[in-house]
Parts: sequence; C-alpha cells; structure tokens
Amino acid sequence: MQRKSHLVPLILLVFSVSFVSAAHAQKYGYPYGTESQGVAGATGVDTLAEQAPGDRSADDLRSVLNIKHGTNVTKLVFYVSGYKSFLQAVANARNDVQTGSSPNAPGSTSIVSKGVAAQVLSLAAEQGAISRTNTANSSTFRGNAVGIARLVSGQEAFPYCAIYDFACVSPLARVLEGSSFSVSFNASQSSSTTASSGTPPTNNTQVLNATPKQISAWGVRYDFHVHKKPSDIARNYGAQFNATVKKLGDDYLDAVDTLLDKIPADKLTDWTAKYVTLLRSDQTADKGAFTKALSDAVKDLADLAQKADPQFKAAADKVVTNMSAYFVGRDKSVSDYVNKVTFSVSYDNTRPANQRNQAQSSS
Amino acid sequence: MACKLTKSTKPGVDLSGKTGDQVQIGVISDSGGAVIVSAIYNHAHLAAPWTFTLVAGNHRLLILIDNPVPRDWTTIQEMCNPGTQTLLHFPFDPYGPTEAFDIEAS
Repeated sequence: MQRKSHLVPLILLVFSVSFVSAAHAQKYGYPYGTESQGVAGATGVDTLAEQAPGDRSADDLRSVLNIKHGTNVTKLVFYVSGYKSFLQAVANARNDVQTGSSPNAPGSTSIVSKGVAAQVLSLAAEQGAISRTNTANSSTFRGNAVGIARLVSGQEAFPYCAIYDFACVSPLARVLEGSSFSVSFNASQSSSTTASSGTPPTNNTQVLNATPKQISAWGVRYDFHVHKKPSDIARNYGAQFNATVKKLGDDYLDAVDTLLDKIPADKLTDWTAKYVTLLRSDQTADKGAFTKALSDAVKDLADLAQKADPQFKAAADKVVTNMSAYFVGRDKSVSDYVNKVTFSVSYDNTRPANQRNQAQSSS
Repeated sequence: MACKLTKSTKPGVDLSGKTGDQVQIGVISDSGGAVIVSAIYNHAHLAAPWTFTLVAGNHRLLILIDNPVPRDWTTIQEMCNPGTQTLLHFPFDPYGPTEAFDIEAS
C-alpha cells in the first residue's frame, strides 16, 4: 500500500477536530418553556429572562409555560425519557446513520494503528460516533469526521437536525458532515488468541492497535447536498407528504394525545400558578436563577404526572419513539425535494479501475 | 358559515363553541409552506380538509404541523367562510411541531 494513501484518514480526523468549534448543533437554550430564538416580535423564556421579574407579564409566562405547545411537550419528554434516548430512537429509525464507504473493500492504512489515533477511534466506537461491524475474520469501523470531532469536544456525536433546518449546524460542519471513512481490520492476524478462534476481539483498542499488515481495507466517501432555497422548498411542500409519512404523523399525534391525558388538569393549574408567581419574583431576577426555576418546573411537572399515572414514563417514551420515526420518515420522504443536487464521490482501495467513483443526482 | 369558536378566558379552556357546530381549521405561514400533517379532536383522527363537529364538554384538538422554514411565523386558524379567525400565531419549532387547544362546547 502506498504510504501517501495512509494520510487520508488522518487528514480527515485532524481537519475535523481543528474545526470542531464550528460544529454546533442546535439545542434549546432553556430546560422548559417556548423560546423566541431571535424571531422578531416573539416572546419566549429567552426574552423573558432578559426582563426584570416585575416586567414579566403573567399572561406571557402562562403562555410560554403552556404544556399544550409542542416545544414544551418535546422538552418534557426529553426530561423524562432523556435526549440520548431520542437520538438513539432517531438512529434506530434511520438505517443509514453511517453512510461510510463500502466495508468490503480490502486494503491498508497505518494511520489508525498509531497510539493516539487508535485511542480516539476506540473511544469514538464506544461512544457511538463510529460504528463497528464484525464478520467472521474482520472488523470494520465506519465513521464520520464531524461525529468524531463533536465527540472529542464533548458534544453529541449525531445531534438530530431536521432536513430543512439549515441553521442547525454551521455551514462548515454541514460541509464536513458529508465526509466518511471506513477501515477494515483482519482480526485473524490481530492476536494469537483471535487467530485461533477466528472471531474479532470485542475490545476496540485491541483491534485498532493493529499493524499495517492487519488492515485489510479502507475507503473514503464524500456526499454533498445542494439544497433549494427555502422559498422554493415552501412552494409545494405539502404535496411531498406520502401516506407513510402521514401515518407516522398520526402515530406521533396519538402518542402526544395519550401523554397529555396523563397530566391531571387541576394539578397543572396549580403548577402553572406556582411557576408564574416564582418567575415574577425577585428570586428569579438573574438568569441563572430563572433557568434553575425552569429546570425545577419541568421536574415538578414530570413528577406530578408520574404520581398521577405510573404509566406516564412509558407514555413519554412512546412520544420519543413515534416523534423520531415521524422525523426520520419525513426527512427521507422530502429529501429529494429539498435537495436540488446530491453529489457523491468515493474511493476505496480495491475498487476496480473501470468503476466510477463519482455520482450525481438531481431532483 | 360564520366563525364557530370563541376564545375563552376560563381556566383550562382555550376556545368555546356550541355543541353540534361544524368547525374547519387550517394553517398558513409567512413562507407559504406550513401544512397540517395530522389532527385529532376528542381522540379521533380528522381527515383533510380538517373539519369536525363540536361535542358537548371539554375536548382537546391536537394538530401536527410541518413547515420547511424553521421559526417561520405560522398561524393556526378557523376557516369561517367568509374569512378566517386566528387561533394561534407562533414561530414554528421543527422539534416541537404539535399544538393543542381545549375546546368547551355546550
């Protein structure tokens, strides 16, 4: 294997880590309450946090705390079921989280066999930023440069971004997200123990600390989407929803309906009154105390619902699952419509010379 | 038909109306892209064009909206024929795309 080709994964890794600060996915700024997120004329907890407690109107507070708003439903189920469970549900709903290069291309790279890179990749595999698949005699790691970079900087490796939310990640992160790689290790040569069993070791570091001879394949791939202008996307958007997506939407709405049923109305009224009063008091004058009060609010809301119905957690889990399925189904369904051009280029070290390594599709 | 829903100031009630009245809802947005994907009234799914008959008591109307422009000003409205009535005007959140109203009919 040529030595220059060994540099490709390292360049991808270093490049992505260098620009990790640009790879911020959108997250809510507050643990509970609707947010204006900079929209002119909108009132949210983010705008109320900037006001003196006495200036925060009771009507505004009741509105931003209203559980009937979808933002608050999402924040409540994230609190009860966990944001990670949402990301896991999204990953489960997608079959293509990792679109790395073909794993069945044998070849070699020495980069990942060097200490630090091996440790980073091992950590990434354990945290889900790269995937690992095993065959009888080999282990293939497939990863995305931005996913690893986010992991290294302590962010979620694969935050969910709606397909049309182009501001969800930085333009640079969006460009880098298209890059992926795969490395296959011949596990039968990795150690005497695995050689005798023919099964790859479960320990990622053990596999990744391979010698160049043990790396049986590698490849890189880059997918780039040129999306339409938002105004063009909006023009005929409703027509893009097929029966499958509508059914997923029905299921999502059913789950939210069941969840809202489990919150007792009288307790909800008391809860609202308590937090409207608190958020208008001097105790929540500074932003930290205001945020802490919202954190307590979502906890109290979850507790009172759970106390009223022990099945509340299961209902929240169901919302997370159905919401994820709907988001993923919708994104898949409108993908060709949202993207004007999709360009892919891939290289793997065993691709036959007469086979194309570029593809372009337009909608 | 004239508007059938009235905004309510009663705690736990967002809108009120007369039992048996037929209501139609719709959605618009600044971008023009907002759509109703699904809607439920009194635990029953509605079909486009999103009409339902008010049932006695307090019942929930739940709507799933999509809009390809995040944070786009979006309006849920009653179709009154002639005219419309705004029920809710809000910046669309793609990660929390549902909205609910409690409607009391008597």
